[in-house]
Formats: sequence, structure tokens, C-alpha cells
Amino acid sequence: MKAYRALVATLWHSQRRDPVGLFFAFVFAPALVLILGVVLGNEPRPEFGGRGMIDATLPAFSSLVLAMLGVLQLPVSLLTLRDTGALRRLRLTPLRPATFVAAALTVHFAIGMAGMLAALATGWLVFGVALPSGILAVVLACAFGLLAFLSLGFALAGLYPSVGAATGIGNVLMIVLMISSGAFTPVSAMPDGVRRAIEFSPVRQFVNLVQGLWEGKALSTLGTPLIALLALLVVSAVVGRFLFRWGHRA
Amino acid sequence: MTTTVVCEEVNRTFGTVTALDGVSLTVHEGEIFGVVGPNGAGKTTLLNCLEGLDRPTSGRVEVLGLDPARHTAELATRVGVQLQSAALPPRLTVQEAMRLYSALYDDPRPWPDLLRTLGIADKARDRVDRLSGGERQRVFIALALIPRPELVFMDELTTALDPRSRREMWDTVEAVRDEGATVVLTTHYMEEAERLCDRVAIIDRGRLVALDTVPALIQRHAGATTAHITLTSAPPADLDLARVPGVTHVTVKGRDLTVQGDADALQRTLAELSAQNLTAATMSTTSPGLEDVFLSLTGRPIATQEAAA
Repeated sequence: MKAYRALVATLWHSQRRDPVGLFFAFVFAPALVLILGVVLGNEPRPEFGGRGMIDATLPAFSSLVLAMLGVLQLPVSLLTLRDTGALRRLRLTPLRPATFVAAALTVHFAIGMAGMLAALATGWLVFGVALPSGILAVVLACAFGLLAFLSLGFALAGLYPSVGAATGIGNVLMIVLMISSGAFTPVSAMPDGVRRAIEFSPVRQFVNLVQGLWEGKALSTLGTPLIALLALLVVSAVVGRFLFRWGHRA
Repeated sequence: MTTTVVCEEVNRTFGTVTALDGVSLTVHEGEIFGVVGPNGAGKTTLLNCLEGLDRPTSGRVEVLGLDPARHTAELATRVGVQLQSAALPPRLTVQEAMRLYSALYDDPRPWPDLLRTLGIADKARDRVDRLSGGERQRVFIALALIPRPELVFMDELTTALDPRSRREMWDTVEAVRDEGATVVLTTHYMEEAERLCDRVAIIDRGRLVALDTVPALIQRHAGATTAHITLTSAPPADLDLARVPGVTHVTVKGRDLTVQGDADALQRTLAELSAQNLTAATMSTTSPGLEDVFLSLTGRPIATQEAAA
């Protein structure tokens, strides 16, 4: 427990001094809500079913944080620790791998939750989006989705060959996931084929879950996104556990 | 004498490349043991096997009576390590790194004392990545000493340090040993091994070519000391210093003599000169070092250029 707490503190200090990474995780999503809200306005529009753009898509903005942390930031930060030799040195201490992974996930979970809540709060405070009565369920769903995507990031850290590859592939994956979230584009206006393909995106499944809860749907009607995210969490965790390495093989 | 490290016929191959070829050696408790050799000789591979980061392809390795590849957890609390490619999570300050590593052990040495001993107490709030090379190496030594280790591995400790920092680092290593730890270090600086190590293992192309104290290695493999003597007056033509036992080579040019031989032979040479009423005006000697030992054992000079790493 002492080791876990010390590692969380250390990794947080390491992260918080990386202004670019922290900016993207924490500021990017709320800033985007702000910019799109100001540029496009929140007046009722027919393509959003008679609702304003922010009213209709606010929960989806929190998914940007997931995509960013899961496919880009967590793998890059884990691989940086591995490729620089920081993990190799830690391996020669009594630290257990599970403690290290738990601490790294904790730090990124806290950053991610802060970013998602900031995005929702921006819509609520700046554009007067009405909070649903089930806001607690929405926050819990955000936490659950974040866990699933951090699990994905842990697996990707084992799959990406290097920090450079993680940055390159991660950026592309992130953009694909962001587009498939439905945060910028009204899904109802898309052609059928694209709409069907998008449903396979884990980010879209997260948006379905959060949006559903936001609109007051019962959890029992949201089985598909719940199962999809749970599957992502479990499969990624197993893959990540299997591929975890302290360093490059000598 | 208790042995701290044992290697028996250790081989390590990477594909078709043989990095270690039948290395056998023992390290005694309380000594500073040097593994020397040119870059790429296999020093780091050997250390990796001792630290448990790698395991031999064949042969046996024992550290504090344990197998480093299997008893990782126990050795982690008893062995301190300074890696050649040492790193910490990015952007940490010295005290953050110290707090982290202190939290990983049950009975850590208080790190403020360590920083004071190592002369970097005033750097506690500085970021590790902004320290000078010598200061950063001290941070990693402090990390290695936090668990109160019985044995410390140091890999190319002074590479990339300026000569002054290097000398200060030698004092630090001796202080570590004086506090009771055994030290195993690698270096490709022969001067460092001569100055610091109680015993030296010379490794070349994965093979152990010699192992002994530095004076013994020099005596056995590099032999002769050379004395340059200038006499106050020209010696008689019949002066025959080559007859002096132990002298291997003599040249006489006017008043200048050059005499080669072991230390005893030079002593006898001086006695012979006095016996003949010849007085030395100036005298200087050049002694062979580990570089000459390496040359004589391998037929190649060890690369001594101080390439900036």
C-alpha cells in the first residue's frame, strides 16, 4: 500500500509537469464544447431532433477524453517508462508489477474523470444544458467507460512496438475513434452503411450508453453498450496482462 | 573468506553472437571487484546475468547464495544496482525520486542523509533531468544505497563524466565499500580499475582472460619498469649493466641510461652504479599499467579514447 501510494504521487508529479499531455486530457474536451458551442450555437436544429447542438451531443464530448487517454496517452506514458529504462530499474526493487500497473491506471483514471466532468460541466454551466435526474448514473457510466478504455490502453502499450509507433498509430486511432463518437456529426444524418459500421466503434458504444442514461433510458435497455464495454475491459485486461514487460528483451 | 558472487562456466549467446564464453569467477565479501575490458566485451551482459535482468544460456550464477533469475524478490532487498542506462519516470525532482524508492523497501536508509553523504543535499528540489552528469550519477547511487545493500553493482559508473567528477566518484565508491558493502563494477577505464579495484577480471570478446590484483597482473603480464637515468659524468666504457640480475634491456647514450627490468633489478642497478662511484643527476621511471597487461594478453591495445558517450 505504501508503494502504491508513493507511485501514484510520483507518476502524478511526472504527468503534471508535462503540460501538453495534461492540456489534452483535461482541457481539450471542455474547450471543444466551448468552441463548438460558441461557433455553432445551441439553438434548436432539425438535424438534432429539434434540440440544440450542445443539448443533443454533450455526453458524447466526454468520449473524446476516453479515446485520447486510451489509445494515445496511457500507452505513450507506459511505453516511455519502459523504453527509457525507468521500468527496468523499478524491476530491480521489491515492487510488484500489479502495484505498478494499478498506480499508473489510477493516475490516468483521475485525469480522465476530471476531463470528462469538466466537459459536462462546461455544457451545463455555459450553455445551460439541463442535467438529467440520473446524473449519478451518467457519472458512473463515464467511470466504467474510462476503465474499459484504460484497459485498452494497457493492452495497446504491450502491442505498440515503441513510443514513436504509439504516438503515430495512437493519433490515427484516436481520430478514427473521435469521428465515430458522433460528437461532431449527427449520426442520424449519415448513410446507412456508415451508421452500421460506427456501431462497432467502442467509443460509439460508450456514447450510446451515456447518451441513453442522459436521456433517462432504463439501464436494462442499454445491454448492448454495457456488454460491449465490459468485453473491451476484460479482453484488453487479459491481453495487457499477457503482454506486459518491464523492458525490451535483452 | 566468504564469497558473494559465483560464476561457473557462464555462457550467454544471442543468436549466433557469443556475448559470454565460459566465464568463471568469484567475488569475495567486502572487496571492490572490477570487470574491465573494451566496449562490447560482455561486461554489461555479465552484470545483467548477476542482477537477474538476463539469464545465462548455460552455466551457473550465484549471488549471495541465491539464483538471481529465480530469487528476484529476496535479492531486490539485499542488492543495490546502478544501471548503465539508468532512468526514472520523466520530470521528477531528486526528492520525489528518493521518496518513491524509499517507499519500495521495508527498512530504507534515510535519504536526506544519503544525499548529504553524496554531496547533493542542495539538489533535493531540482529536477533530475536538469542535473549535471556527475550529480545525476550520484542520484542513481543514492537509489542503489537506499535498501542498505550487502552488494552493489555499478555499470560504467564514470563513463561520460569529466575527470574531476570521475575522481570524486571513486571516493564515493570507496566510501560505499568502507561501510561494509561489496562492490562489483564495470569500467573500460584502466586508470579507474588500477586506482579503485582490489581485484580485476579482464574480459575480452566474452572471455575471462585474467583475474587478480592489479599489481599481480602487472607483474605477471606486463613485467618491466623502465628507468631513465642521467649520470653526472659519462660512465666508463666497460660498464655492463646487462649483467645485473633481472635487467632485461639496457641502452647507454653518453650520460643517459635507459634500463628495463622488474623493480628489484632497478634497485640492484642503482647499487651497481654507486659501487662504481657513478652518481645519478636525474632519474625517472615509467611503470607498466593495466593497459600494458591488456596489450600483452590480447595482442591489441585497449581503446582508450574518451569518446563522449
